[in-house]
Amino acid sequence: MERREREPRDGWQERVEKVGFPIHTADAPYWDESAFWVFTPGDVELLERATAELHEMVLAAVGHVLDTGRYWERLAIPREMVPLVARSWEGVDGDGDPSIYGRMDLAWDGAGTPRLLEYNADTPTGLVETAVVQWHWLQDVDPAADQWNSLHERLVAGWKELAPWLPVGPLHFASLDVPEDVLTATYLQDTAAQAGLSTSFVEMRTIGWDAGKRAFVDGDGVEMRACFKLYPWEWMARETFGAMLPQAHTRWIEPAWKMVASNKGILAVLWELYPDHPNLLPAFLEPGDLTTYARKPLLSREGANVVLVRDGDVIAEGKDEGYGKEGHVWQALWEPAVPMPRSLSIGSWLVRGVPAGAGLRESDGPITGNLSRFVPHLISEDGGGDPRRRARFRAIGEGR
Amino acid sequence: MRKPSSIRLGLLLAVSALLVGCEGEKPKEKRCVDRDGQFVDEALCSVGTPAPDGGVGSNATGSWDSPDGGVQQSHGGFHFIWIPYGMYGGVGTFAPGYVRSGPGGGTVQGPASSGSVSRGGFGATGASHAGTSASGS
Repeated sequence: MERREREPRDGWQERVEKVGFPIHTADAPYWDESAFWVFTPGDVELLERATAELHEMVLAAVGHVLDTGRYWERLAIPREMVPLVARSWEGVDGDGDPSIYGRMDLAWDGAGTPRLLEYNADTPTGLVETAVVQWHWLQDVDPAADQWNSLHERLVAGWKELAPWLPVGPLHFASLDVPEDVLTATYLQDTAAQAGLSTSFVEMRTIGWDAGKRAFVDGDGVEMRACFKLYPWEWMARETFGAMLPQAHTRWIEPAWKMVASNKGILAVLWELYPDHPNLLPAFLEPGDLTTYARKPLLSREGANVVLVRDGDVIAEGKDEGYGKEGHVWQALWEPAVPMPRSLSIGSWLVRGVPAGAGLRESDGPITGNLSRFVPHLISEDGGGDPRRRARFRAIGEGR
Repeated sequence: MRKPSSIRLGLLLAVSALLVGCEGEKPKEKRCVDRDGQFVDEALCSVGTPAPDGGVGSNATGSWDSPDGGVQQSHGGFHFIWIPYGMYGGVGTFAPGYVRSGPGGGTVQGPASSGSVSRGGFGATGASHAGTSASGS
């Protein structure tokens, strides 16, 4: 694994807009092609194996939470939602209601084993830039090279797999009226349409509850029998319509059991089930003896209210968004064994439970937040050699 | 198998094109498009409209009369998409000309009822985190 710098393409803004990504710049570019990362095929195999194994472990951990019934309060999952979660877990002849996607955020320095920082199992974004924008970047800068990226094809194929489970009628896609969310949900809608599904979009606040039919309806009063929602389960559960969720027959994607998988407390359950696993960091629902750790609210998003502590001293804090009242997980602080040119989070995507590609986020600080820059990648045989060796970082440059 | 150099996109490009190009003019939030992202008459997205390819079950808003478990029919159908105004703010800025201000002004009302249908029961938490996506990051 290696970081390299490169002049951005001429007119890069127009280029990324042309492929469907107009939200490329905040105060500074969010889409950042002034650098890219190079993986070897061996790197990708390593990350894929870790992702696949972690996915199986997460499924086991969700099953453990349901079987034991002793985590609901600790994970701040409302009791009223437990039947809904259980029903979704037992759906499709016990295999569980299907999932379309998820993203594991991995820490890796190219030397040791990748470690799971967290699993965005419910409402991950960063999808358009991973699946589409960086692929088109690669076609422009090095069309002969490859990329760890089969997201688009797998999403189209994934919707086709889900088709027999979906009721006849439109598959609704719902999100807030936030450009990032609408673009992400629309991209998924696009892949579903390419799979031959009938689709429609509904803004979250437009969703209605028809008391007569005991069903959720869209803005036109059409019953929502199946819905992909880019809106967290824990928010839905606590809002006015949360009380209607258990009685409605809507088939939700992601399914309700993702309420468990996406909870950061799952990190502690994983460590309990798989202590010393090489792809996990020690994690607990109480601080215990840890003195160097990341304290993460169970339900926070985009690094908000995360606190990093080294030897008892706070070294970094995420922005305050009011998370944490629901409880925390304490996870041993990951620090690279070799110097890294940037703080890097590897977003390892799964489609239908299969590793499907990576989106990389760089940060100036150690916490990945909503403004951490997206940096593309490619695969090359000379991407740094054997991943078991210490990573070699060239062209590091000064911090920006 | 190597993937094609260009990824086919229809709906996404329709939304993003309006985000880039709607200087000074706000289009309707909800628009009807075909599978290639071309804007079409809204009636084509409505219940009961036959698909241009004459396929079976070819409405974007299809009938619920069919029993559960039926396979969604492949069709040359139409799809409602949503043009975001960034009602709650949002991550990033946009290409020049993008109209940021939203019709809702960032406020969220409680559920409103019309007949047996009430609305507004989802979305409040997201609005309280104005300016951020509902997504994980």
